[in-house]
Amino acid sequence: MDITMNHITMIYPSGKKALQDVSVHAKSPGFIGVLGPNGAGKTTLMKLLIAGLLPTKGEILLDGKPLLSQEKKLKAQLGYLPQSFGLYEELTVWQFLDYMAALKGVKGKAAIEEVLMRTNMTERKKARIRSLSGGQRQRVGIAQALLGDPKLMILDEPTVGLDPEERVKFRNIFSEMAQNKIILLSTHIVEDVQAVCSRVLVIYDGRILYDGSPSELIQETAGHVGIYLSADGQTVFDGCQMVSKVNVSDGIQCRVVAQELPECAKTAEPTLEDAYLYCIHRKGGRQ
Amino acid sequence: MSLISLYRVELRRMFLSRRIWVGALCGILTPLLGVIGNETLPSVSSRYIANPVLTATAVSAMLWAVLIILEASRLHRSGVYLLTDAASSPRALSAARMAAAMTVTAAVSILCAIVYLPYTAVKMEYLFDPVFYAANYLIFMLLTGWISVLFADTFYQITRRVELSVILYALLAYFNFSGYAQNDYFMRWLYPYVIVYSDGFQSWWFLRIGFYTRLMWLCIALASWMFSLLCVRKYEKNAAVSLIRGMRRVYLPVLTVCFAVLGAGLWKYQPFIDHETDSEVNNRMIDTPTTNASAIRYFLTAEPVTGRLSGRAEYDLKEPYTGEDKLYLNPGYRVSRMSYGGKEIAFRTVDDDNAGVRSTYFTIPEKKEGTLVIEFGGLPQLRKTHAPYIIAAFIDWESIQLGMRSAAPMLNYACRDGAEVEITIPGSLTPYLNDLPMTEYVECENGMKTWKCRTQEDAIYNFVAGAYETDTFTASDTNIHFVYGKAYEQAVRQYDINQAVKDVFAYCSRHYGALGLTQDQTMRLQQVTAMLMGGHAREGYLEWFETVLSPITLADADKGASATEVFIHEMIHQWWGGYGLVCSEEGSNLWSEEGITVYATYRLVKEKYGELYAKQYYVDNWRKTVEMQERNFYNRHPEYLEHLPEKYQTQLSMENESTNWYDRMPLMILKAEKLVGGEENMDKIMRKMYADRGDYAQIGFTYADFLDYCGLSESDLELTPKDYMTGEEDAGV
Amino acid sequence: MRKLFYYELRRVLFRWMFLAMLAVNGMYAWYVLTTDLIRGAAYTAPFSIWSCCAYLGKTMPAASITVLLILCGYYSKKQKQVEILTSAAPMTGAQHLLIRSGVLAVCFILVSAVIMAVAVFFYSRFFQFYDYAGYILPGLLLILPCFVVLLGAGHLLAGVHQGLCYILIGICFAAALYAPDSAWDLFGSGYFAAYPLTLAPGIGGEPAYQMQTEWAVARGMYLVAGILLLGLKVRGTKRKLTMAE
Repeated sequence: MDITMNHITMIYPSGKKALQDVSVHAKSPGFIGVLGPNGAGKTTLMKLLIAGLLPTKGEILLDGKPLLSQEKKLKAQLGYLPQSFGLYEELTVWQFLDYMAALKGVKGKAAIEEVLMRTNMTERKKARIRSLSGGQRQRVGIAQALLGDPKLMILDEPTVGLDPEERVKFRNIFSEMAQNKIILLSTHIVEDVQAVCSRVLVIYDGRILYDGSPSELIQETAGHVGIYLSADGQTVFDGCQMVSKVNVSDGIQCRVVAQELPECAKTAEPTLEDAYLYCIHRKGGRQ
Repeated sequence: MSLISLYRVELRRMFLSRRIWVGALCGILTPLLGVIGNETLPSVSSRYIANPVLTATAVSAMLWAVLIILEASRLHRSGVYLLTDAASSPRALSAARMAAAMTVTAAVSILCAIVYLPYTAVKMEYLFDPVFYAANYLIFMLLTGWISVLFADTFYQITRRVELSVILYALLAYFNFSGYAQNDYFMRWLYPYVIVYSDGFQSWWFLRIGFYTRLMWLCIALASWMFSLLCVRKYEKNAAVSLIRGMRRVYLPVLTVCFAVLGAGLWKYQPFIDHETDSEVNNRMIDTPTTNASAIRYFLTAEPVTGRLSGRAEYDLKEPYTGEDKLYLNPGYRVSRMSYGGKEIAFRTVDDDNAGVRSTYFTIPEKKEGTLVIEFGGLPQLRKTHAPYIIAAFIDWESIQLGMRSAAPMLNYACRDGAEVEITIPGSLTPYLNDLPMTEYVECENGMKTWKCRTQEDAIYNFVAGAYETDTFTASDTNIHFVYGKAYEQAVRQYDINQAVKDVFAYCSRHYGALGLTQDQTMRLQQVTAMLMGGHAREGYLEWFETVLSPITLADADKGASATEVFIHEMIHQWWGGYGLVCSEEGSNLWSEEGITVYATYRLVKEKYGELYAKQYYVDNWRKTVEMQERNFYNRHPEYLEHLPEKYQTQLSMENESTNWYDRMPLMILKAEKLVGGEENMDKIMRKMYADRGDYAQIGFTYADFLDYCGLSESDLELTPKDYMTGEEDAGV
Repeated sequence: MRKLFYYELRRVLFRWMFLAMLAVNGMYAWYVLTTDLIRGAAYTAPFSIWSCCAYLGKTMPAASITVLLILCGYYSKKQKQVEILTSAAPMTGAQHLLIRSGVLAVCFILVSAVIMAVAVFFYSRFFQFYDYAGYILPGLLLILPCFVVLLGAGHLLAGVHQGLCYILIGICFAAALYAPDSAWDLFGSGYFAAYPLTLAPGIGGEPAYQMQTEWAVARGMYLVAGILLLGLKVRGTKRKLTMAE
């Protein structure tokens, strides 16, 4: 599978520019993490890829042909988990997945049993959805996205509501699945991207600031991450973006990213979080 | 995923929904609403079929509409649409959901028919017809349910707001019950119009028109729903943009237009009711010169399956009129061919429906002896102004009613020898042509019979056929042929109706004089279907209303013999009416034979059931009705009448006329009775009036004549508040 | 408090939906006047107090449905999600409820004003009638209990489940189609069409308006019942708060 977005601009009727001249190419296999702050355009990008929106400008191609003319083909191979969604409360977990399987044209109980097992919901398959906790509902959402082994998976904040152990588990599931499909994972949790994504897109204010491997992004940040001690943690140097503050025995240890580190700061080994913040700070015009 | 697969998926999901099951259960209970509290209905079929089915139709349709709006909105309220839209086309899913909803409503309608069948069969006993019963549920409840869910989904798909959709649907539902739609078969989309079901003579006419109107509304609903399908939101666009994008699927707008055109066409070209333009015209005369025919022949075939009449009329003419001539025919019939002397002649039909006929113009080319042949056929149409109440022309398996303008063309032709008539009808029916029984017939194929006779008249004024029984007996030296539907035989025996007939003849002969009839002193009393809402009378012949013999009416102790009293009233018209004393006065809306007939009925009832009963059901009713007439604001202040819409002015005028005839005049005659010295003296006066009836046959017996006979003046009989006010009865009449 | 009332009122009045409902009420009122009340209730003059009250009784279901629809909106899912935030504020649920009831009262007054304005226009145009002094008391007694009872019942039912309020709306709709002639009928159109027929006509040929004791008592009891229902709802709101604490 091959997806190409060429010079996509999306302007909502209210006038808001959600995406500006975005071009992305993805080919299977591939696991792409999409990072960006709230309102950056991540969800808009996701919706465009599932033909849920029409771009104002530009084109989206699926295997070389316009996406909108292949909606049926797309939906037959799509697993989609939106950021917020609803379920049929009166159905049981099994019944809901059965319904979604039927909608997707996925036949057989085996497919449902498999996704239940993968999402650790086998024991709760006969429970009514209204009796599930938030995390369990999220797992049902992931399960329906996994149905039918789709070639393209669009996951918008899939691990919200899951405990840390489950987050790790799902990361591994997604990582396994990425061997023969395209997965786009939008998240705020940088560790999710770091652990499993082979490629990361950083979006800010409707533009793609970075498109490449996480390691390269981290390399670019080398020498731009520093740590210094502050008595009250309130000291902010010009041109610096605060990453974290940690209380230590002799004060507050501040971790910052900057084009030019303050003199008192000691250089630190950059993490992906540092790299992401530095990218936005430098290229997003926050400095 | 194909549409059929989506439909199966949605149907399965609906059957898992508790809301749908609750709705289904409520739907099955809705006929009960029609079973409870329907004591006023005059026929068994109305009580146990029409009322439950029609009530269930309206209530369940509204229930399903609300459910479908809630089901459709749930997709969006719960956010499930985010998942389903990614898995399938929203439009396809919407269509699948509608198909599933229609399946569920159909299932509930069929289930209703099954659940209530034993109860209905037991209650209706020998009158129960399972095919007719099932057809009611399928035509009314099932089809109306479909129409309702289509409209409801239309509103939601366009507005995507639950409360707005409910309001729009409520407005559409209210329209059905509003003044505009109340008496209109075609506008009553939610609560179909059925006046009364006949117990003895079938009522398939209502089902025919019911099916037609359901089909019409189904087309309109489908058109609107298809339009709304175009508005199903995609790409987070609003309704207008989604509509424009939806137009790209060409088949959808094409289907929308097709259904809309079909629905409009069905409405405009409906074959049941004519397009009368002037309701004031009650009679149309052909103003061309009368032509003498040496022979007239009618060949008619009544087709019970389609309800159509086809026929051929032949006129042997020696000296035909060669100017432009015209004939009148029921607006539902079309002249297909006209010929004279074997050669085809041109004709043109004008759409000038009035007084129940339409004109066709033709010209016989030469003044030469020959035979004019007119071939015609079609579905007899009802007159628009009579339509809601009087079903005067129809052809059915168990009943045929063809009034004056519905059996054959009307021309200004006269034939001394009358006309030969051949008519083919279902074999189980007994026909009566121009109020006389037809006796000669030939068996045909398909269970039909061809009846033949020669009439004394040269036109067909009245043709009735039904499954009749005839009782023959004597009452006061009169031979009575009492003709009633086979279905009523039990009731006739049980309630001794023959005795009621004898009582009337005995009373009226004793008080007014023997009835003047044909030479062989024969009187025929013929029962007609309840759908006719009344009957006509002529010398030696009387039609009476079916529901008089309804088991419900006869068994109701509170009503006493009120149904029989209606029967008695009609019979008394033989003395006080067109073939007895002709009462008429030009320009008067007070004086007619009804007043005397009502009074005479009261007197008979008083003798039969006692003074208290007669006072309660007659005198008190007259007083109350006259009091209401006096109270009416517009009667008290006619200067305000101009503010009243014309429809209500006409209604008020008709109400006033009816009150004057049936309540005010009898009260005035009762007052006269007191003033002339009591019942005996009144009887003497009425006996004299009846004896002198021959003097008034041509000129009509007026109110002034009545006053003369009583020796009273107008002011003597003017009613004062004491005469009609409640609580003043001791002081007044 | 005033600011809260202002914003709550603004949320309702400045929606095209409310304006549309006002228009629908106006059109329905005109329809009732020109097709039904023009004939006069119980044969009295179209502008008699009897007819006026019958008219109000016929239009009250529509006005009530308008108010109930707005009330239903207060118990929607979206509203409940907002209440998660507002319930953390110092203002009590009962106060909030009373503010909203005040807003509903304003809406009801506006709708009733439209209905009455249509009638005034109709009577002045067709009958040149302008004297409404004697109409105020019976009119108020007719419309106020309608509002108060439905307000209290609506709040109580919608608090249990929003769908129950829609059932109440359905009952109002049914009342528009079928009106019993009892003095205990909430909307009263059937009562005003039947009761005058039991009275002797006075000077002028129609019975002068007289308030039947039973009817007045019924209105009073409806008013009290409505206040009680509202009180129950207020109490219930307070109790929820206590339990949550």
